[in-house]
Amino acid sequence: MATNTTTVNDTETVLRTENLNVYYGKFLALQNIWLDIPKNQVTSFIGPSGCGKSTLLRCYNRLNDLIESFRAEGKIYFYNDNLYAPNIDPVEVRRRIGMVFQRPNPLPKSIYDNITFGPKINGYKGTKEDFDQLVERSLRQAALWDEVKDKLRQSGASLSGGQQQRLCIARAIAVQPEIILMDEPCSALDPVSTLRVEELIHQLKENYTIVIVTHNMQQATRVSDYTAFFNVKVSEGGRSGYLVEYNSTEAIFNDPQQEDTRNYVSGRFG
Amino acid sequence: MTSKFPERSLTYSPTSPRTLFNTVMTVVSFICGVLVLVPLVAVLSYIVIKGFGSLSPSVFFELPPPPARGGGGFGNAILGTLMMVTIAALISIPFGVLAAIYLTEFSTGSLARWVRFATNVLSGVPSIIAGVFAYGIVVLGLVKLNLGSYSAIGGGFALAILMLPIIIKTTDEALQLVSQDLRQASVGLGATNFQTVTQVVLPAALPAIVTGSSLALARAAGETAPLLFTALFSQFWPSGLLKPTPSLAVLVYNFAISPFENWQSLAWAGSLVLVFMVLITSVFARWATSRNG
Repeated sequence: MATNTTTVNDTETVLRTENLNVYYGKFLALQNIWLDIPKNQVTSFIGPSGCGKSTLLRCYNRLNDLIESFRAEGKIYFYNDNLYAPNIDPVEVRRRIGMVFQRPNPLPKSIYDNITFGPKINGYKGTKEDFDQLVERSLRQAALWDEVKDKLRQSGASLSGGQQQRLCIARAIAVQPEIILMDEPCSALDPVSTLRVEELIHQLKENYTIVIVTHNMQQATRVSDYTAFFNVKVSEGGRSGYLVEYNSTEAIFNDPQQEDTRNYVSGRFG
Repeated sequence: MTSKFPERSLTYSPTSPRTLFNTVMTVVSFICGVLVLVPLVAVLSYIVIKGFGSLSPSVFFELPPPPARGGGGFGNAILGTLMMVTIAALISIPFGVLAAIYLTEFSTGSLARWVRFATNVLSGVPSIIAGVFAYGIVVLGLVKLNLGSYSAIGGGFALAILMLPIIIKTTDEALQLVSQDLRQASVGLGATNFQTVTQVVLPAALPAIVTGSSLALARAAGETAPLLFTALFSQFWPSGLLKPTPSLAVLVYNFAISPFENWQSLAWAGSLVLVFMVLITSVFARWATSRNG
């Protein structure tokens, strides 16, 4: 079924997943994942609920460490460092590999402080002007500056859902990560806000590598260069997710090699 | 883009200031966590060591002996405590839970604010004041009506006043934690307020309510001051709800300060029984709610 060859292009690889198995307690949630994420490209993960795509995404910045029963076997290389090696500091990993969550979750602070919080806790040193510039640059990159420049001292919660999500993206950018992980970033947004976030993703890939989990296949075709399709296998031990096919988005949607992928992308799944 | 971020490697370094501070604070919070266990373990083990020796089956079933003689027990005080705590629970749990339901589910604006404020004040009232209040209302009331004076009713009433704010507060908080989505799901199916509260909200909050109520019960069972002049004490079996009633807490108080050795050792045994009654109540309450949770 799943092919082991998953290097799909010749640009530099930032994240190399090697034979990753993820367990929650005894239950195998993800099995035998081999997958390379190319630099400065958008890679999307699609698949039915429970296929483990969010779990995999959260493995990339070790957010799953917060789940007590979580256990990962295998390797994820970030350039040349195995993220799951015992000598890796997960706190530093999360600075380099940022995250945008499904529901906008601005911190209970002002818009300005939402942006400066990450840099401050990460030891960013600068004058007032440096911080002002950082805030402006981050908000501009997140295409939010024009809407909020006159109310930077207002609470982040006072913004609309779409603006809050762009604030969260700006916040993630502010710590200057190399990769931004997005876990269904548009599923709580209206179509107009979704479109703005998608445009933003296009611009961001100039500077960042983006991995996005989405339930929306049109979104995957619109924003991503590469697409990985995951499926879920029901066995006596429970349900576990696996990678079915990984290729350029065009190939996945127009010429899928696997029957399951074909059924899923054409809406005939399940 | 000039980076003003400090250069850090991905490798975990236990000596970097940031990691070091993190580790130190984790250790500090761990030590505090262990330290708070010390008084609990110390009190429990001291009571067990001192009380276990004087424990025998007879203490549960016999009356207190005369001074300076062996044997006897405090069965009457156990029964009295159970009676008064039951009366207190019967008064405070329905009132408290219903009041909290009103606060979270139905109230708007200033009335709820005042009720919450009053609850906070009430929870800060010293227990002896609750005793004086119950004395004034119940004990003197019974005297006026010629029905009695010091009584289990009076003691139970005083304990109920102490339990009430704890029950209202814990229930109020438990109900507020129930997600609004759940209420909307129920209302969206055409449920009335009553149906929503009884069939959706209360079951969701039940474990927390039971825990809060058993905490309140535990507190009430250990109260001495308010019982001193509402239920008084007696050396005999309780003979009715309107008669002076012995209780474990007052027995411990009376016997511990007495000069007689046999009474002192009974006081230790009484403390042990009291602690275990409270422990068993809360363990049982948790077990009962976690089973169908």
